[in-house]
Amino acid sequence: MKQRSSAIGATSPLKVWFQRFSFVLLTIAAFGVLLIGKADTVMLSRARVWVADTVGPFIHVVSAPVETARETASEVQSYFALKQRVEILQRENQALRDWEQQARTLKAENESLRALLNMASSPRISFISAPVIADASSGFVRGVIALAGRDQGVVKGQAAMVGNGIVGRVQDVGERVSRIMLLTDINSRLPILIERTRDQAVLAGNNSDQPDINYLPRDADIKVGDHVVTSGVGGAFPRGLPVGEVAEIVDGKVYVRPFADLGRLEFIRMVDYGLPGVLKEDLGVEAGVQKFAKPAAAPVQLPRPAKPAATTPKLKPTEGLAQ
Amino acid sequence: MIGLTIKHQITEWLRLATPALVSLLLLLISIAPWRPFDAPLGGSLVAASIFYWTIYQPEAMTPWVAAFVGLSSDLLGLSPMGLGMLVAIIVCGSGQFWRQHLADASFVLVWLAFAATSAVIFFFAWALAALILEQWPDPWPIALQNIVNVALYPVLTLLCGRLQRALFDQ
Repeated sequence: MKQRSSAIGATSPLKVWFQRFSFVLLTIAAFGVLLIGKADTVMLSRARVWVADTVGPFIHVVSAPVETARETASEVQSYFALKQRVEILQRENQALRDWEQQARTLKAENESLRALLNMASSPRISFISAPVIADASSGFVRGVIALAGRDQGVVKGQAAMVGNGIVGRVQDVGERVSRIMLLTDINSRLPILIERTRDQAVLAGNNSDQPDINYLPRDADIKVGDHVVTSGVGGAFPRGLPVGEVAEIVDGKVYVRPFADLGRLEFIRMVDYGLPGVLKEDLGVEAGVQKFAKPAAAPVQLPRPAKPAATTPKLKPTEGLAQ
Repeated sequence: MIGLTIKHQITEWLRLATPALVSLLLLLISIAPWRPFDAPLGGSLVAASIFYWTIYQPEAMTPWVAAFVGLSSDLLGLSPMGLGMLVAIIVCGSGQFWRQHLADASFVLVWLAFAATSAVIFFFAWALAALILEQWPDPWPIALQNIVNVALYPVLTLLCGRLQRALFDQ
């Protein structure tokens, strides 16, 4: 008994002190983490990438049964709606054939006009398709984790897209996984253009399903249903990528419904348009940024349609990635 | 004899690690790319799990463990860095407070206590998020996350209770 009490006596003051003040200590530590997170975004980004990389395979395993259940439910649903689906697809196919014909004509016309103007060809576009393994969204952030990282050629700042529109941009890149910040995230800012009126503005995420438009000209004549596309300002994304449509206008605030269903992303494409992108220079600290030739202090410029060949960034096609 | 000691040690380790492991597993499940509602629910159930284990297995769900689970949620990118950790610490503290007052209380009272904790967390997290993000975030997704937490608390209690009995009540 004596031995026991002496043993406790040797260790307990510190232990008791830690236990008594654990809430205070931990609260101070949490505020410290909060301040570090606010001040040192690079360190934070690295820590998050490391965690995502480490737990990526576990997330994939954990989400596999959920994925299987979802696929089975969707297959059962699609089986019952087969006839209707075939009709829709046939109509869509016909419409796409018409578009294909028009695209071919336009492409030929475009090439001949480019040749006439002696214009340099656009940088080669490369893309990486990847499954979404985690919906890392909560009340505070909107993002997803995709199973493709630096090893597959993903680079910070690339556009993340699905078939019918842009979903966000690559925020962090690990070796095997990458984190995508969705358009709806409160920190997301995307330079956009109202297709009908040609008004330029910024689409700002607000953690709801409908981001709102900031910095619209006062005299802008926006209507519900107007299509919103990327404006290309800032050089991060090219002009004209489909973003969404104006869903509602409340008290002068314009809300946009993204074309892509951001709540149900299964596969996404990380697209490299070969643009230098102001976002990359601001935030890009990871490998891969150096492949862009533009110096870090370059001013923000509107994308110019005609650039001399010498200043056009030449990108290598991403190796073995296109799926 | 040695075998018994090792078995005892493993059981003890499991007993102490289960709350943290269950909370981390729930964290991973909550970010599976599947949404039952049209709202993100990443990190849901973690607060419920911390609260449950603080009440029923307090020696295993210490403030340090709760803080670690909260920090993991932050590092997974589910909240601004430090916010998830703070919320987890508050939930753990609240659990310890209620534990003293609800020692022999019925499940409904414990559930109500958790609902009250969730309401406090909602306002705290929303205000702190506004301070960190320097703008008012939409309160609805944060509220929904807390509502889901409260609504699923009975299911969590049932599952964790069974796990607890299966592992430790022998």
